[in-house]
Amino acid sequence: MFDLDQGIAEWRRQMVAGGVKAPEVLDELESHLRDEVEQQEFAGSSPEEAFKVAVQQIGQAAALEGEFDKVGRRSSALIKDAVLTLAGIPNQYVDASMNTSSFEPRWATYLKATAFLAPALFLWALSVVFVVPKVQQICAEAGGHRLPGFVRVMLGLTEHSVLISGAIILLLILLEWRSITWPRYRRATVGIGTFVLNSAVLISIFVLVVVALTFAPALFHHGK
Amino acid sequence: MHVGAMVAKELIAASTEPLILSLLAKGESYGYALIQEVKRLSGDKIEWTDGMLYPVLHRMEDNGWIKSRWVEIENGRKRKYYSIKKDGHHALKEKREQWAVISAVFRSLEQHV
Repeated sequence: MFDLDQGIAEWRRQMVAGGVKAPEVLDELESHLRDEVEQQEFAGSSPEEAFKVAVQQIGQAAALEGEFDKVGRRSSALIKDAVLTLAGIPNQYVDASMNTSSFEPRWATYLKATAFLAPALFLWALSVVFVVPKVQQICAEAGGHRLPGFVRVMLGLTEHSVLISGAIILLLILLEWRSITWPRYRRATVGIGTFVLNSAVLISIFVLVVVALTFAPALFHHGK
Repeated sequence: MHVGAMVAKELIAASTEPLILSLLAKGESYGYALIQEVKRLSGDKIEWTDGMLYPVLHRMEDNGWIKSRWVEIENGRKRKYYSIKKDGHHALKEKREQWAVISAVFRSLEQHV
């Protein structure tokens, strides 16, 4: 007995192997295929025959991929994606609840995340070494204040940064290796993670500046 | 049996966007129905393929002429419906005027032969 769903699953695998990979595009083509199958059956074909004709009608993956390549994505759309990614906002393809897409290749996601994180981490490392001790000194001399809680939490995390980044990398490797659903959420998760980390560093450095500015005048009083 | 020749490839390519916009201006529709509709209206002389149509639809969506949404139909199946946006109406008006120019030239030449 011919199973249409099984036939379609096999057809999707062939399309993916042929280079048509975006799930959203495949969903749309599948919907088209099912319409064509219905039409063929309506015209009197057996389910199996209807499926065969419909698959032939829809064309080979290689030909389709060529067509999809030809059109490409407009540069404005690409820029929009880049801006959204920069802001850490999950892109529309990931956001569309039932049709998520591995539109962006894995290497691009990680490369972007690294590129966006590098300046922040570099600045934070510099701050921890050069700025934090100074600000701590200012706080202490201005009347025994402690650094604000947010900064203390960040410093605590920094102390264990090797352990934490090791754990995150291990988790990512595990997800890449084992999880089937991870590729759908990869871009959104990595994007949000990057955004949160960047923001945390920015806020910390800002808080350090505010603390220094607030307590510095007190130093003069103490000096007098 | 076809009466007369199929429309040439180049003309199909040039007319796909204006025709899609015209079809969507009548109401929301999806890829398969668009192909059927244009086939019927052309007396089987224009047969779009899915491999040509969907990339064009996606490009038009990127252009901001049309928008799409997934609609759940019977027994859990879903379909991607497209509808025309304001920019699409503007584009359609422009393209219609251009096609009107070409066919007007043809008409007036026919009369003067």
